[in-house]
Amino acid sequence: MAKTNFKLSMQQNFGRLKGVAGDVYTDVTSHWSKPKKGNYLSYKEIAAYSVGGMGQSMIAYFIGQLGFSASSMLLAATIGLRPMHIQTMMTIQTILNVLFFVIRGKLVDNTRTKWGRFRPYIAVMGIPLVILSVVYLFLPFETMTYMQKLIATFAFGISISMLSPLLTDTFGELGSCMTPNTVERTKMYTIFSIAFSFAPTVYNFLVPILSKFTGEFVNIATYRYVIAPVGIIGLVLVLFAAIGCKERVVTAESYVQKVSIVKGCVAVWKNKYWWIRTVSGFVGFLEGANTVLFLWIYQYSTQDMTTYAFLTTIMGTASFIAMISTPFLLSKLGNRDMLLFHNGVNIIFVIGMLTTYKVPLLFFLFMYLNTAVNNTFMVYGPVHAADVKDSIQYQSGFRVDFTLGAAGMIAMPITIATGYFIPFVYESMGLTFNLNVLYDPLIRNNLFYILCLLSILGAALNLIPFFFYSLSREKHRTIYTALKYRAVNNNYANGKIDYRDIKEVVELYNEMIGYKNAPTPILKEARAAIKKARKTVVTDQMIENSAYSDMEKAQAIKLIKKELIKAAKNNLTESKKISEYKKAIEEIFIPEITKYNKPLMIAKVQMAEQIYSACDSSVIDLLNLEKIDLPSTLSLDKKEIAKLTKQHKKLNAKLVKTKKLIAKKYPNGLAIDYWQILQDALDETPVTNEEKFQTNRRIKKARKNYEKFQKHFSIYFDAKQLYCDSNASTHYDNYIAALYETACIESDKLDAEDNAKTRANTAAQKADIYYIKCKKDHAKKEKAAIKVAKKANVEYTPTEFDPKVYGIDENGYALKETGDELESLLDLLAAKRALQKAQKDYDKSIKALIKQDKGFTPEPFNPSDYNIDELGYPLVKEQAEIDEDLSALTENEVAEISENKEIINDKENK
Amino acid sequence: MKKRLIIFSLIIIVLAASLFSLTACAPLKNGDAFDILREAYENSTGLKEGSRWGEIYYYQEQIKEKAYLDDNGNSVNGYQNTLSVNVHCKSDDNCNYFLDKDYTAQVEEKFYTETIDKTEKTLINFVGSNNIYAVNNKNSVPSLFITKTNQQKGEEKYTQTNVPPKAFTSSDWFKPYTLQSKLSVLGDLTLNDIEFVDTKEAKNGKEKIFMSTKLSFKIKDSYFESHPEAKILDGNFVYVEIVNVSLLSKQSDYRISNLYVYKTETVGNSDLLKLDYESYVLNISYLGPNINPIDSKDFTAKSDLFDTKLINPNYLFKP
Repeated sequence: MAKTNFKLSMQQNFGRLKGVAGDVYTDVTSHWSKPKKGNYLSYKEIAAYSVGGMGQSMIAYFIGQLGFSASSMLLAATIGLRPMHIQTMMTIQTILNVLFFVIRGKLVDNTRTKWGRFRPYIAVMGIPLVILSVVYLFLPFETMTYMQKLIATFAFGISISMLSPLLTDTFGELGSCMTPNTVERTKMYTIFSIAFSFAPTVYNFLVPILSKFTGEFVNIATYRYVIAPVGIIGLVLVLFAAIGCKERVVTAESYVQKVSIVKGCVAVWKNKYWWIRTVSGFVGFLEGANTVLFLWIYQYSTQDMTTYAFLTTIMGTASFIAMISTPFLLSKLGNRDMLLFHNGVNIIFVIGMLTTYKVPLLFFLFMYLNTAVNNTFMVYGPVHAADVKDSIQYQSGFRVDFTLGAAGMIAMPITIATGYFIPFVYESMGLTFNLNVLYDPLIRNNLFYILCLLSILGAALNLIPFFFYSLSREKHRTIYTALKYRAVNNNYANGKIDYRDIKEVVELYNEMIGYKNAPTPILKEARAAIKKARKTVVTDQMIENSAYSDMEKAQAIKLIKKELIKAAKNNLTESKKISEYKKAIEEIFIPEITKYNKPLMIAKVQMAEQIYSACDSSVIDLLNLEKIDLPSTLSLDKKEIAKLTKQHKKLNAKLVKTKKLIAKKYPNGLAIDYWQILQDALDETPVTNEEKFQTNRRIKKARKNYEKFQKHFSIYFDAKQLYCDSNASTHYDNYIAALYETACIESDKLDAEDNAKTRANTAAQKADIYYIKCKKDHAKKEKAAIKVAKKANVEYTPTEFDPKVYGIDENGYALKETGDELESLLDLLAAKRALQKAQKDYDKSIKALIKQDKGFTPEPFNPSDYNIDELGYPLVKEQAEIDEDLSALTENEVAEISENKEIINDKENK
Repeated sequence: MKKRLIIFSLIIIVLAASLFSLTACAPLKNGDAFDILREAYENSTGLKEGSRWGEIYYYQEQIKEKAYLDDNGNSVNGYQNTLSVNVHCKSDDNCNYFLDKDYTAQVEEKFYTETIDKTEKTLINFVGSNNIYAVNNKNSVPSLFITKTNQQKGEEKYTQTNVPPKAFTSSDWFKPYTLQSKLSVLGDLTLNDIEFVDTKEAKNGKEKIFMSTKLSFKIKDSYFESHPEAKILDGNFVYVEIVNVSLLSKQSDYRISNLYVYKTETVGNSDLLKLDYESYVLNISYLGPNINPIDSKDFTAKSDLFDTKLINPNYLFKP
């Protein structure tokens, strides 16, 4: 029976899949050149971008051969440059790139052509890049001195690294401005990422195989005649994006205040978790010491590039394993344990690589597993990064999305210095001008051994900082609650009432208070309970009282013990969770909600109030504020008095400075309302690209002037922020908590509206596809009819497509049924769903029972067990049965049912 | 837990420090440096008793003499000869050679001339090349394959079967190509014949970093007077890289890895900008890439190729 059900469900699934595939085909073919209604992108444009992406990746692969890397097969193994010299070139390149970055940014920002800002670079930049690379490869290296090779490599390498972001970055920017619709953009990137990854799979497979005919990766002929053509083909493909895609100018709709780089960097540097992640990254150079071994084994040891090509392709699947396993691991392990797991498992796999580097396939296996584990970072890394950003926002009060990169520059000197270590190891093991020494197993094996040891050391060093990483899931949730609490208070103060946010923050607040008031769990006892559960002797009484009383005694004992242990483990997990929450709440949440009740903060707010209230009519009134008075310090301790006095001095000094600045910059008073000008620019509704461009220009100028104005009056704006935040902090207790019930109702309404919108969109898409299918069907039938008529020598007049014949209207929707027919259709749908669910529940329960008892014979599926008939319609009870059920109910149960009925009716009426 | 973590961290830091200390530079005395050079020479040439090397090697040599303008402004030609020799067989991971398996040999030479035209532009012209393979052909028959390329005359290809690679490498005319003959220029050097020179390649002329020893020295003129064949080493300084291949054993096992001779050239007209160039380069690896079997198509069979003047080095193409 189970087999038949499985076969049936497989058939159903296959049918469903076929249907979906058919719909996708129709959707793509019918919207190939013209986008769907309400969309901006046709599939042709998405395809053009994807093909362009392939081209861009091929160019990047080609010019990447000239990348400065101590283990570069072109520079080190083929041309014969020393690893330390290559590293020095890379250091210079890194420093120069800071300057190039600024120049490139200005260049692109000020570009304005009729094809847009980015497309000209995409069309053109590939050409000089490929030409420079080809010219470099055809230099007469055989007759050049070492110094000549070094100078030529540096000149070409720096030029390429200066120009290549003009292709790669503009390509990325083009993707973000092809459509202003976020949903459409996500769909585009999904299709793009699938198509884009096709190119590396192909060239990473073909190039090693073709290199066999040109002397492999140690012969310049491979780069000239195998790899260069990859770049040239890429040059052609990238034109698809330049020609086939359009830039749709997007204008900003609101002003988002950017934090100054210095302020942002200081906020980032004060965060412990950011430092832990950064310090751990310092030793990344060690951990990566083994990545070069895979190619070296196949180039110098087995000298088998065909196997290398196949294994490289297989290696590409490691990221797929990482992507499907990471969400599961992250939910099981939590944030910190995920980091410890990743780095701990790294050590194990690299030890495996150390013991197997003389057996290539085993080495590959361990490398594959190590790569899969490392790729989990691609999934959980951004999640952790987002958690750290939230932590920074909690500490500093502002978002630092744009300054994280700048803050990371603090690590540049260390990164540059540590970059020399591996080349130094290479040279000290005999790998200098001549990488051919790697053919020699003695040199090669010594080097491999040392590099694996260094990788193990790196993995271990990488692990250490994470023992101090305490940003757990529970702590992050607490931070999130604190941020939400802050945001909702401020929004309420500004008149922005979002019922969904209110509902969420009240529920989170109550959850936090619940954890705070929960009894403190004793973890020692919870751990001991697991041991106790393991040692439990199961009595006959226990078996009789359990659900396994019908089973064999031994089986029952096993299952009962399993349940007890599971319950004890769950209790420990729950206790740990509560314990973690309690710590986090004391550290984060309580200080947040009581922040403005503390005496020091009250004093600070009093000082802020003096500044804020002095500028009732205009900020220029700061000129009339003589000085800021020191508030009363009676309720403060010594330390707090010292802090307050220091801040008071600072504020007064700033006030003096500001007054001088105002007198200089605004001698005639404040004539311009910079905020209003910015708002007016944001409120513009340009239509044509030219208008949008001009609007963007005005917004940019207005934003610049407003931010300058804010900087001049920062003492006022900071004081206003503090004063308003302190007022807003009372809103939760005074107003927001009381709005909970209204918020629930309103957010349910909004959810229902959103669901209805989603259903309507899905129905519209389905209707559109069905309309096209019907039209195609009609055309097919007409064609057949004409053919038959022609054969029979009879005249046939073709008919226009009439959607009513197919039971649909001109938009593809089914023609409106009568009320009864519509209802019966909906009932049919509901019955189908109910039958599917019952089938699923039956299969699940049978599976569980078979797992417990392998000899178990299941009864056939009976829909009535699930209160439905064979078609899925609810079973109609006989009146006598209903009366019997009613008489069994108690008075309270009857009252409860009546009450619920009233509430349901009220809701329906609303 | 914290205690354990601190101990674990300390262990890792100590391990890291000891590993990094291996990479520290050790100062060398002149005598010790010369002893290392001597030992490396004897190992590399197979002279030392019990030495594993001397029979199987892969080296690349480049000899360069720059063109220049004499006092009358006339161009004096320079040249560049590139030589690659690969004597190969099967070996295991511990460099135990199995001379009866896959024993093959390959010699590749290329010749260039360098001239300066009236505008002082340096022109490098390819003149010709020789490629000699002593391998098995596709039917596992030992054979000799020769390809001669002359820029004016084009390419000629010859082959003779039943010429075992071993016979080829043991013959007299292969003698000039052996590694022993290339390194023999160092053979009679004594500590008195050299002077260590401080260069950017080797601090104080002698530097030992972990497994690698770097020496830079100048050979005195008296040595060249008694050993004219060593004139190839006459330059600003000789730079030698020596590698110790015994990683885990207490006993050192040195061998020569690279040998460079540097001379100075002036760039442009003035004497201000001077750059060192490599007048002699010898890169050695003690096992090279596999030499694949060759398809004898397009090769003209000659039954007496091994004995005839065709492969006598005096008759091989040279400019």
